[in-house]
Amino acid sequence: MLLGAGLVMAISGATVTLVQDKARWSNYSSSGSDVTEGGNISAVNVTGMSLTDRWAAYFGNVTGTIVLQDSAADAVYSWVWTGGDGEVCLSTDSTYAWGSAVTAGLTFVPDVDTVFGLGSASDNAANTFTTADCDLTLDGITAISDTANVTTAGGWDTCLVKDAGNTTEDNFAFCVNMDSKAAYDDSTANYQVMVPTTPGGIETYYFYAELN
Amino acid sequence: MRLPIIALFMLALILTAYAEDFVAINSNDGRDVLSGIFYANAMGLPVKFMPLPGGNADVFAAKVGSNHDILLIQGSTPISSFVESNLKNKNNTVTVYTSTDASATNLDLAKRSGATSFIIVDSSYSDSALSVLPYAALTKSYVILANSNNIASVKETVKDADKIIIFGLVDQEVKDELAEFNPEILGKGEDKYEDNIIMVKKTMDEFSLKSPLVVDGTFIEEGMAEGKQPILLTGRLVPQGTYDFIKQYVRDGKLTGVMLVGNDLVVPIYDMRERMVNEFKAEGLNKTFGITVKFAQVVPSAGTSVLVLDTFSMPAYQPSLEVTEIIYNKDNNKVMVSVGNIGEGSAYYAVEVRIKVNGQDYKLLGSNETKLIERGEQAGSEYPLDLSGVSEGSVTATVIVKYGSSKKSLEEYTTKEGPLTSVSYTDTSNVTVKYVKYDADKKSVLVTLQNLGNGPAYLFTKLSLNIGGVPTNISSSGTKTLERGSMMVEEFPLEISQADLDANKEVTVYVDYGGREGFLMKKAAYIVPLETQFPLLLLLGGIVLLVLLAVAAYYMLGRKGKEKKR
Repeated sequence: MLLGAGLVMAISGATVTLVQDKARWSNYSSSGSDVTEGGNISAVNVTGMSLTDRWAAYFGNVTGTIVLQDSAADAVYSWVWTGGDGEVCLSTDSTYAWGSAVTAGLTFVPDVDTVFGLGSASDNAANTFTTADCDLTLDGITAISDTANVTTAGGWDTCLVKDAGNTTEDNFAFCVNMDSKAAYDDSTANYQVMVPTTPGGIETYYFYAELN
Repeated sequence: MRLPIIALFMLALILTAYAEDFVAINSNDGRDVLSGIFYANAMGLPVKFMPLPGGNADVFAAKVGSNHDILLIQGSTPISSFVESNLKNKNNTVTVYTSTDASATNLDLAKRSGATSFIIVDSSYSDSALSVLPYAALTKSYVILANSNNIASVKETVKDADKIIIFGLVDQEVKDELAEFNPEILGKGEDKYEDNIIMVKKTMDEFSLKSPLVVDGTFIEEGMAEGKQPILLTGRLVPQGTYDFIKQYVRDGKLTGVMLVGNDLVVPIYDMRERMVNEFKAEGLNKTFGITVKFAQVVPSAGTSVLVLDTFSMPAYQPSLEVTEIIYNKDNNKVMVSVGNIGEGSAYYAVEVRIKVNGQDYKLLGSNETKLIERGEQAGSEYPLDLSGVSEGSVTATVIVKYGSSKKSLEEYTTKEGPLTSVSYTDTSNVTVKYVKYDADKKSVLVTLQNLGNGPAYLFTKLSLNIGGVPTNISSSGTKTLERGSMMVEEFPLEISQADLDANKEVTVYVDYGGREGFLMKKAAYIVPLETQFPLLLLLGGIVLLVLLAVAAYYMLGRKGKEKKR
């Protein structure tokens, strides 16, 4: 039995250290990423509002900064990515398979009413997604054309996509082509998208961005 | 007619024994989080964990929802004391499983899950656990965190398993003890990225999945926990093996996109794709893959603002080196650089030294050779440098050490700079190995060393022997100091079976030593007989037995003598 004071190289070039597992696994705080090279793309000013008890909307900006800095976090140089091509999508699926996304025409809109429990109210999906002329390119390669959409204030189209199924909330996603123009409140935004919410129910939406 | 009723009653009891339809985890210990996820996935149940940092009991309860029968796995140090009450307030039935020993909890949940397939990984770091999580979820296998301390309990847990996989680097004793179950061995345990690729390939090929998650292994996120997509590990520098794997699978149409969780890997992955696309174009191919970044979440019905993703920090192995000394030795005209390993495990590194005279570049020294440095070791390097005619006070040196946990991915670095101090140093140290003994009482190999030199010596010792037929190298806990003329015993905790003792009549002791700390430039290897020191109790028992036999013999002889006289 190997006890704690030494190291065992069971395979040439590798070591195994037997240490106190608990100390390692408990109260472990991430040191965070040391941005010594590369950078980050972050969504700032993501703002949400509840439109009705059946819909919520989100808009915001996507910006990026690549920073070259030393270990003291003093920046040597920075490059800025100011947004542009790409999509922002929301789905209740925590790992949506974007490579499997397909067009969801008007025939699938009633399924949105069913799975989200929107019923036959005047603000249900069928009365909201009334056109199907939205085009997207998801995952960089998946072409979506003439999918169901709703145009919101400022000319932002929320587009409906689905994967292989159509019987659960997770099958659907709500996407918008990124741009740089006024949001509903005249502030400048890179995206504005609306999503259904189940009246009296609860779901978690996850934000996805594809940046070209 | 009573028998069928009793049978029905018993059946009802069994069916309702574990009636949960949801697993929630509220613990500060990452092993509880992983064990809860493994349990839920093996049972096919949804699972949510309180994130760390940033866990909020109200948001957590909102996300879990209502009208569930919840198994709440709660550590002895939970993240929030409000979780149980918040869940109950949402009309959930909550059964609390209190985890006071996360290692034991991992095994207890294995039994509770009723799983018959198991994947064994090392308990020290999270890399292997994350690598196997999706495959385990998809095959309804349970993942066990094993080491040489709990292997007896692990063996008891898996003794009736239909299938066992051992993945990545694990203690040799774990492999030895489980060998009788004919486990499938995946991964060599030499490079976490190479082993990760093996598991990702297996998962993607067997389940026709084409969109792995790409992360650095320092956290687990809610989507990762579901295990629906493979988890591909990378650092800020994409390892060459990982690059080659992605490129090949894109070429073959078996990988159509990757999903990043959070922002940290956006630039290296986008850069990788651009390089790959250009390489494909040069071949006349129009191929690419999609990149999606998951970056936030919201619970609209609960009125939350847009939130960061739910993550739990994981102890992925992070190496750490430091430059301890840079000097110029006038005696041999060499720059001497000492590097120390202050991390929790071994690391690979390469050194570059930039010499400046009066602020101007004078000489670039170093080597592209990647070396291995053990935990606690101080390694020295020497580079010839002619400074004749150069004023000492105007010479500076900058040392850059690139390092990483993988030989092919040196993604961290440390630096040191300053005036290049001159010393006059000739290493006259002389260290030898006197003998090596196995102490069965202490379960340790004891190596006795002696300093035959004229001054103090610094040494780092390694022991090489065969354990279970496998060549095994064991390093000491760090560099030791041995005064002139002194002897010391370096202890290597190791339990050796009789069979292994028979197989190791001689062992090899490697000693790196020198007269200056951090510059262990002399290297010696000693092949020495392995002496055995009998257990003290056995020795005493033997002595007592001999004494008793002697007394008995004396008594018997004495009686015979008296009878003859009669």
